[in-house]
Amino acid sequence: MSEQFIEIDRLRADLQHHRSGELSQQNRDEAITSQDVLSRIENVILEIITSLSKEEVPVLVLHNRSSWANIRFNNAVGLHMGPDSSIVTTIRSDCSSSVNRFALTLKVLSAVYKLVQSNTYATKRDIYYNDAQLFGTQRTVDSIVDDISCMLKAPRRSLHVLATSKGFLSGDLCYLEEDGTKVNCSSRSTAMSVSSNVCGIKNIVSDAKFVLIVEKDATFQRLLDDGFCIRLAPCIMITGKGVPDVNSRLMVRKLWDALRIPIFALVDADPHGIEIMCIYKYGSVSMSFEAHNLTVPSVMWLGLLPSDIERLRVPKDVLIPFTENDKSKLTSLLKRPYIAFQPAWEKEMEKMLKWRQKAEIQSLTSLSPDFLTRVYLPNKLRYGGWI
Amino acid sequence: MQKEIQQVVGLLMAQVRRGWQRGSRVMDGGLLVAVSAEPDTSSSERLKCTVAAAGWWCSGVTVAEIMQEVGKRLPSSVTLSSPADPEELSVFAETCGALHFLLSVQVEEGRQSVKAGFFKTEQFLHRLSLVHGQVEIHFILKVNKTVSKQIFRADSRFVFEGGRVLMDSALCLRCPLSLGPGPRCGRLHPVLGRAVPLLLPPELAETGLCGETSLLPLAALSPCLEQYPNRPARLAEIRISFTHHSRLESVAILWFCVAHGEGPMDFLCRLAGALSWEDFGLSGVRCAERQSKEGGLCSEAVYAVDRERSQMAETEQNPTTEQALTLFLFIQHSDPFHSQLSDYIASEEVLEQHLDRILLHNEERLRPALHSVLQSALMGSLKRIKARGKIMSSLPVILNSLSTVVTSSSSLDFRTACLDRMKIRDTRELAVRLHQTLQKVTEGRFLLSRKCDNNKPCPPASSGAEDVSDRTEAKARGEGEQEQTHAGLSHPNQEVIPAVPQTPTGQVSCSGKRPWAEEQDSCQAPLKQQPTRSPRRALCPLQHPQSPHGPLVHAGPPHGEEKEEDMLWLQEVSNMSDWEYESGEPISTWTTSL
Repeated sequence: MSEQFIEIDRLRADLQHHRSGELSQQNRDEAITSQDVLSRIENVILEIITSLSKEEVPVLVLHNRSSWANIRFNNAVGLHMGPDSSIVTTIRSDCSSSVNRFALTLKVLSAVYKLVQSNTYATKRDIYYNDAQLFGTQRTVDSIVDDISCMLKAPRRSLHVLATSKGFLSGDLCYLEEDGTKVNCSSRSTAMSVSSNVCGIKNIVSDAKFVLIVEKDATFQRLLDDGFCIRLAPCIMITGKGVPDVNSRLMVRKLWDALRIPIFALVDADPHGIEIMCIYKYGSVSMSFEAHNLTVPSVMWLGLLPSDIERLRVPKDVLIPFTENDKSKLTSLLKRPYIAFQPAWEKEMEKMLKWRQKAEIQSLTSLSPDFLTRVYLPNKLRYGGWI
Repeated sequence: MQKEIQQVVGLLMAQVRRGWQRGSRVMDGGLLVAVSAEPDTSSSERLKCTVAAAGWWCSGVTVAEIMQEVGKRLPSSVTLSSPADPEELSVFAETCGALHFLLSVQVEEGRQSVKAGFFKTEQFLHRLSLVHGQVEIHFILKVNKTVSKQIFRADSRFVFEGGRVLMDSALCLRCPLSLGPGPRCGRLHPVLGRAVPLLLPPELAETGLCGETSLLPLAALSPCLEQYPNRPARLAEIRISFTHHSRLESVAILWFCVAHGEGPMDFLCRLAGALSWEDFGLSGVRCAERQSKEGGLCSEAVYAVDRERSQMAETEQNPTTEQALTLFLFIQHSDPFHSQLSDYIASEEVLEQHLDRILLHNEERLRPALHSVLQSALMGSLKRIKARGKIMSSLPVILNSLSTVVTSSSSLDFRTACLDRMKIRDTRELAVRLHQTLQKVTEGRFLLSRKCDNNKPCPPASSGAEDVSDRTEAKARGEGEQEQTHAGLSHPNQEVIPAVPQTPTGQVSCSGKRPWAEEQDSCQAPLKQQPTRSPRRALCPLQHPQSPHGPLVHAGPPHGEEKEEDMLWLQEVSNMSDWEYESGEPISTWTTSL
């Protein structure tokens, strides 16, 4: 069994070696106190009152979280919002198209103020149901919380706003929740839900050799059913069920910070899968203001590589032709700033673009029903088939 | 007298229109109507009236034909005379170009009817000016030696199908006092509807009325609030004006009919109940008493719009700007077999006489067309109400959130800073002050609009245009005072100036004291043969001094008691808006010697 992890141990050693070169990433949650958050909210309110006292229109100025112009790339951090980000969104209180956003932002801001002041926590869902008619949709609350987090330069956790996790994890992992609950993820058949308070997790205990990020819940369940965590023990497996939520990303980041073991990504060989992997590794534009807590630049692409499709001679009838959207997405990904730092990824993506075909992880079942668990992943891990 | 003036102007315009039909381009120019009145006996006045046309727009008129028709139509008591005001005639020619038509007549008329006639003539010319934007209309009233002068012209014109409508609110409508501070757009932004061909009722065939008749609707909301998207506003009334965009003579006759209650009232009354006002967010639309508001345009019908309860509650805190929708209904009639001036006039008379029947006959066709143009004109208003509702519903959320943070804060510095900023003592006052300030700031939102004209401010409620003579003084006092000054004036449009003495040679002397700089310049300028393109703004429309709405505006100092008497007399004339429907048919003692 020890031969199984030779390459992984080698990789782990390399990662440890390069650790000193990594940017010192302090946990910003710890750096921002509740008093800081209260003061920052008070400053926002005081600015609004000052505007009113001058009979000027109160506005909220937010950094644009969807503009690439505000994004900088650092190989050690990923995509992060630069301090010089200049593209801002001004939310006016006297314009019918923005007044609702202005009002709702203040509403959430006041709710956050009370939460922080009373040292209590609420989920975004709680905030939404506080006045569901006013907010309209949960998505509105989610977006406003992120805006406030960006505006106050404070992680969501510091705002005392939690989110229900959608991710699951399993494997050789035990930890304590903030409230003292002991969590053991080593069950053979059932996965544990990712904590909604990842920052409060402590006493992480694990002998895992690696962490496997699985893009899709279905694949995650299949691997769990096939006893992947037993076959390749000790390891940890986690899924964010597609595009990962913040908690799943925080958890991956937490595992990296605590264990410093290799983290691999198993995603579909399509542009969408690559993008999800990039979110784990380099972060997303909309959450770039919190990149330091969310990105794990050491994530490696384990599979499914486009070159694997050719190498394994996956039957063509299980491959899916490229659509125009796929082409457009892949072209866009190739232009991302981090691709230049990943020449091997770039080659794989160019192959995909050239072949104009994509494949899901499940396509490997066409070779053999348990090919993924018994052959593909063990071999990839044993022989270092990641990039 | 006004009837004769209207007939002469109508004949002149019919001639002009014929010239346009032959392919001449519509050119600019001016129309002068000058009337002088001097006491003849204790109960009557000797009136001199001059109608003159200058500039390229009337260069094709055949004066002899007009004179022949005038001779047939004017009563025998009217005689030819020297110009009513030679000096003003000279100024007019300098301003508007070469004279192509000039007719001066005199007549004796009862003092009471003279006063009524002045007002009606002013209204007639006012209406005329709206639909003939290319013609600068001068109305000069000289009572003894005191001159009152009004010029109808504007910067903005809406051109459509050969017609040009002046689009200055000042010339069309009064503006409400509650419009509030800040730059104002004095322009109308019209919405043109589709022309509806009118079928003539079979019974009209016997009258000899032939040709094609159509109705073209055009609607405009005033005052313009596009630059103040959040200001509370409501549609208070809908005014309907019938007019003719290419044949001024019809306006003359129509106006005469309307002035005597002979307008298409049956149709208009039915229309108030026939349109689906709910589609425009309106309720309680009903025919209101027709009246000419101070300095405003006399409309054929006015529909009042009921105020809703929500608007009443809102008004207690914030004045609501009341808007009026003016619906111009242009009647167009053409008969290719008409060639003589008399034919045109005869057709027009029949058309005007039976207009109500024609409109009623075409009610089913007119209703959707009018509904459509009203919908287009009020679409912005509906959106505005919706947007304002959205804003108003968000304000409590904002205020509550602000108050929550301030009141629950344990930071003394923060709380003190908030109270200090708002200059209040406790958080209870803070909520009230924040509410007031936020509402004020929100409602005061100003957006620059390309299509709006802030250089042409809308005058206060009591008038239709700005007062030139008072403007310099007001500027010196600052804008706030200027508004106060305007609010206190009843008819600030009027420029009342003493008569300029003539030189022994009969030429106009420019040495007289003239408060209007442009007038002085024009005096000194050589006689122009080309139409001048001076800025087209409402400079000094006729005022009605010492009306119940405010004091008289003097541009020049009166000379002695006689002047004061003349002023008082002019002021009395200005009040004729109240007499308009009381005086009845003016007594005419004109003799014809044409």
